Amino acid sequence: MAKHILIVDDEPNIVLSLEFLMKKEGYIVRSAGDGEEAMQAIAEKTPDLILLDVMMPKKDGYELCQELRTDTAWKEIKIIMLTAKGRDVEREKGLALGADDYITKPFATQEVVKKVKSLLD
Amino acid sequence: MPAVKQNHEKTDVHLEMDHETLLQTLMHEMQDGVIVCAPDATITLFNQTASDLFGGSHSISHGASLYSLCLQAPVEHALELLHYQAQDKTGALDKRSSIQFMNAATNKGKIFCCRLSLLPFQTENAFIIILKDVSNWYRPDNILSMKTDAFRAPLTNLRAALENLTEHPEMSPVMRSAFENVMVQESLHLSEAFDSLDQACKLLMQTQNHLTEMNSAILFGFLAKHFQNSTVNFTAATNKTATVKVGSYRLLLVLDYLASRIQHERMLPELFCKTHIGEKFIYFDFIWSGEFLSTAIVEAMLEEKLLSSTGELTVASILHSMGGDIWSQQHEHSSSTLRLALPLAVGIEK
Repeated sequence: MAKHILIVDDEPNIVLSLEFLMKKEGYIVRSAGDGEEAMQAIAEKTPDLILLDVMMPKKDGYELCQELRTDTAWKEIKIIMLTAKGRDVEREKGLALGADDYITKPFATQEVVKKVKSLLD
Repeated sequence: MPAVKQNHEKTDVHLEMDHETLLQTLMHEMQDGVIVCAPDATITLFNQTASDLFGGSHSISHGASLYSLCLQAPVEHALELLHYQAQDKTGALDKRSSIQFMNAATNKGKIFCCRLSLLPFQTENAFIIILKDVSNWYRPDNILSMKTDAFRAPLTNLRAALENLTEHPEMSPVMRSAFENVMVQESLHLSEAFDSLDQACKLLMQTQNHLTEMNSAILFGFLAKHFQNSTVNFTAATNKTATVKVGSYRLLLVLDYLASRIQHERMLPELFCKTHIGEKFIYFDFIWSGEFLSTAIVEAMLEEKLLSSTGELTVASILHSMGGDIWSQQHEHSSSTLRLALPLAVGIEK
């Protein structure tokens, strides 16, 4: 059965690419433009994995991640944080707050595909 | 013999005069302000640059207090830390004899990068402070890091679009056109980011690092002393040491602020602060029983302007200048932490 991926990013240009790629890999893909929209999408249908941008309006990626990890119903969702914040301490923070993996922009699209596959397979 | 002795005396006087002239010339030629102070911070010696920095001879004079010229708290903190280092008897600790910090003129006109050292061979510690005027270029935020981060998103978007175009040539004309459009947009974003980075680089070329490399044992020991009679129960990591690069006065301001804010938010009469050293970071964990702090509270803490800091910096800009950050987490047994992480300057030492 195809796995569900939710892409959460406020930049449509990267959403376009990630959506295209994930669909190519056979995943069912949805997207959300900010943290609040993402929470609605997750409540409607729990995804298997979230590609989560850190810097977003309304609710940022750290907050969303922390919120998901405190709810037992959503604890199993895999989360990969995608961020334009390049300092080591931000990676440390993302993993501490519950992300399964953390990718710093710029990244190769195949790197994302590889990490998604390793978490879902 | 008396003639020889007289000659020696003459030579000694000559040498003394030469040394004094040499010292005066040296002080005069130095591009940084140099002020020598007695232990109570009264000025005993200063050079021409120091006089110029503070607006001429009517502002600075022998016997006046240094604190009439620049802020007292950062200087006193540096002195306290140097005395603490000097008294340390473990032998394995940092022997560094100067502290770097930022300070401001009392009239708020200028910002200085300062280096303070105790004068050796004195029973009571007189000190020397070297001041560099950095008002023209000083920016509290780590601009370079912020500017390079601005490249990440457009570079990612451009690269992803390009990879999709080349790796999936069979895509529909509509998708192809969408990705080509992304490439045009993101190339423009990259050009803007480059212009901005170029300007920041020029500004930062003038920057000198105002942080001091410090052994973690010295830092923890000093903090333990600082929190000794407070409501913060401070426990220092003792199993290993490492070197960190910090602005110790600013770090102290941040820790004081975080502790009091947590106590206020969670109505805690007492708060625990434990430190430990990881592979890449040192951690200061404020620990309490109860709910963790929401992102909104942590964000508000980061945005707080610390009035005692030079230039009224925010907690975020102070932490950013040291490569650090804070976050709050819930743990088992209903305890929570606010963690402050600072990167190690070099690896763990033992």
